[in-house]
Amino acid sequence: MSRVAILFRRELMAQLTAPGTWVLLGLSWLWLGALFRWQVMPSAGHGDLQFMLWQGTLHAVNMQILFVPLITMRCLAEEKRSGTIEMLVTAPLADHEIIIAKFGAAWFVDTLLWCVLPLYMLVARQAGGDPDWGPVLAACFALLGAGAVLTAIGVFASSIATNQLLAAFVGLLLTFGFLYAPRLVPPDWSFTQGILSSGDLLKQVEESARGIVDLVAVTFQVSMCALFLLFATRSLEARKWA
Amino acid sequence: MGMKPGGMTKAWRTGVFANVVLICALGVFVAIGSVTLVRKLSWRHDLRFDMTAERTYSMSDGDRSMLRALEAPVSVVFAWGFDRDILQRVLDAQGAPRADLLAQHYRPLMEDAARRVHRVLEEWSHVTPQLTYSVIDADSAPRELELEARRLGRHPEELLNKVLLVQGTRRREVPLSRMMRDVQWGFFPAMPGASPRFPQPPSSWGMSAELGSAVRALGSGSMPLVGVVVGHDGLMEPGSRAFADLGGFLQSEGYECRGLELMRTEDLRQFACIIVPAPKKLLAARETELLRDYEQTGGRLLLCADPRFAEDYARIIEPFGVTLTAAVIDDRRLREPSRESGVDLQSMSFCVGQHPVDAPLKDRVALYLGPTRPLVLRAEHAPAVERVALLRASADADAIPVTHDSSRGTYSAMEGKREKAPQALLAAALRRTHAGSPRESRTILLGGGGAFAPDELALPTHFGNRDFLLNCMTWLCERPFSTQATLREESRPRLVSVGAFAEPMRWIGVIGLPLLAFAIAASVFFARRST
Repeated sequence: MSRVAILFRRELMAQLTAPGTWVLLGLSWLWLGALFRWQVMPSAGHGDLQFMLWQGTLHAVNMQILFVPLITMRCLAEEKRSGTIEMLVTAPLADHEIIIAKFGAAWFVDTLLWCVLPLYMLVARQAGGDPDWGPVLAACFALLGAGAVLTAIGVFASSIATNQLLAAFVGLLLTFGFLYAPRLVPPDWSFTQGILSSGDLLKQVEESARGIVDLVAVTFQVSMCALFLLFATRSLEARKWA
Repeated sequence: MGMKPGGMTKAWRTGVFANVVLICALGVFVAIGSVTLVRKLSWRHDLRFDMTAERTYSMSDGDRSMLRALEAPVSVVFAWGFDRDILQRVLDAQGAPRADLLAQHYRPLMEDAARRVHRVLEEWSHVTPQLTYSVIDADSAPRELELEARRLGRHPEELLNKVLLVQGTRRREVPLSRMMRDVQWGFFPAMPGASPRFPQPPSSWGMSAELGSAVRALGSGSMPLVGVVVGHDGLMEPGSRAFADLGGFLQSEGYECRGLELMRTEDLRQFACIIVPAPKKLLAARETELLRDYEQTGGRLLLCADPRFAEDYARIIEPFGVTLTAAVIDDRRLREPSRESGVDLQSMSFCVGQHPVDAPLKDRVALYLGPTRPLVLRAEHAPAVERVALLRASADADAIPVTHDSSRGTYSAMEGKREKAPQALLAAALRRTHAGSPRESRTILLGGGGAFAPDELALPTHFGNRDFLLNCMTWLCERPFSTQATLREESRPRLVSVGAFAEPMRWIGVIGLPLLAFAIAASVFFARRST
């Protein structure tokens, strides 16, 4: 087993054996389920499953703004607080291997947050509905991609902060800013808006939830994920030599 | 040079910092570069994958062939922004437009619409080098709009919120509001004294269908003259909405539509096609003779026979071995869902699929036919005749005989004489080669006029009536087929009964899954405590 796989397994076990992770997941599923049941679903008559999937996907992305920083805050900040970071960085592991393993574990937990969405569609199918599985798959791809970007941002925030709370706060600000900056720019700032809108993660997820997988969006998500992981790696390395 | 703990000098640390910054800057450069590169590639190749079962976002073969058939360059200008009509809706007490209302209520919707138009044009420009386009945001690029308006000899305001297609001296305009289906409060002209209403997102869009019609009309070259027989108090008399809508639709598809009084027209051969839209009054003997002569000299006819009105097409269709029965089809399998009666026909299953007119639409789009007569193809017919069934009722359909009172203009169905009409034909394409005529005649016989009702022709995203009529005209006038079911921007809704879904969703989604997570949290907590 490679060193990354060993560290990934250790990190994943640490995440999954932490009661806080499951409490967080339980609260998120409760929130997502309640939103789906009482806000997305109509109160009576017939509901359009395509619309429900679209709305549910957007809710799942928005929930990640809060969820991801809380999951990733412990990645490196916790190691710093407890003093185990020195052991970790002096272990026979490259910096990028540490970051990739921690990112992978956090991303896996983040995936657990929204994996209930296809389950809702299965329930709808059992209830006599006929969901189009293509858009469901596309929405899963989009949530996977958006989750990767947000998790990478969270890991980066954790790498620059000295304690968990600060890591969560910085992560929250960064993920919120990354998702909503293109929409918060005043309409008359057309140049800035033009630049930011090409990286509008929410819009990309929205498109995918309708059934379109766009390679431009996939490239953007992969690039941003790699970029923030690079930042996190450099941040860890700078700490080592500073 | 001061030494720091760990034995590192200031220069060393500066070097490390510079290295980190350099690598991060390089990372940003590579990330932006790769996204830009893929974005550029996406303009040449379609990098989007349509995952929907009905290929909702894929360009149809018809659109592709239509674009590839363009022989001369088409330039498209689309300018969008707050036009005078919109600005008048958001005036404050001082009479100035309120920027906050514009930004909050109009800008997002218009941006969405503009993005959709842009996407259609972008996809089209990948298919043919003949199509070039420019999309102008009038608010951020007023200078560009002014230059474009000057080039086209128009006022900038006249270009706003419409797509202008130019091919040489020919021009077509498609207003943005026409591409938004259903109620669009705020885009209708303001009612004096009415309280302000802001626009709502439309329930469906028709960008591709409307722009496709406009490009087809531009690219079709000369406009064939289509005569619609009038003067019989039929479904389409000049001045009626039905006539205006049909004329507008045909014109947008590259045909010239004209009302035709058979007795007053000297030469019917000037018409590329004649439509007889279910006349309420019987055609005079001389009129029937004129139509028959027209058919025998290679004419093209589209005959509709509504069961509510008597008809006398027998002399025209006799050589084809076709009989129109004085009855109305009652087909409960293929009825309009909101109606109890099976007389109002509407279904996706009418098309037989053996002819270029109906094959592209088979099982893809719904057709509304309304009340329809059955057709019978007899064994005996004139030589050099070809008959192909286009639309067919289900095997369970009944035929209810009808009688007409021509003096009162009423009809009555004789329910008691209802009989099985297995596999009754509702429409057929007829072709006949004449010995003395340089070209073959073509006729489409349709058992009802409901297929061309204005309401159905106006709904290109829900019904295939437009496609069906267009394919009929294309075949009759021998033009290249372009419509093979246009892009459906509105896919079939996939519905679930809320009553059936709510309970399992509550138990599994709201109660079960969170409880499971909390149970795992508790077990993990106690397991850790015990160890």
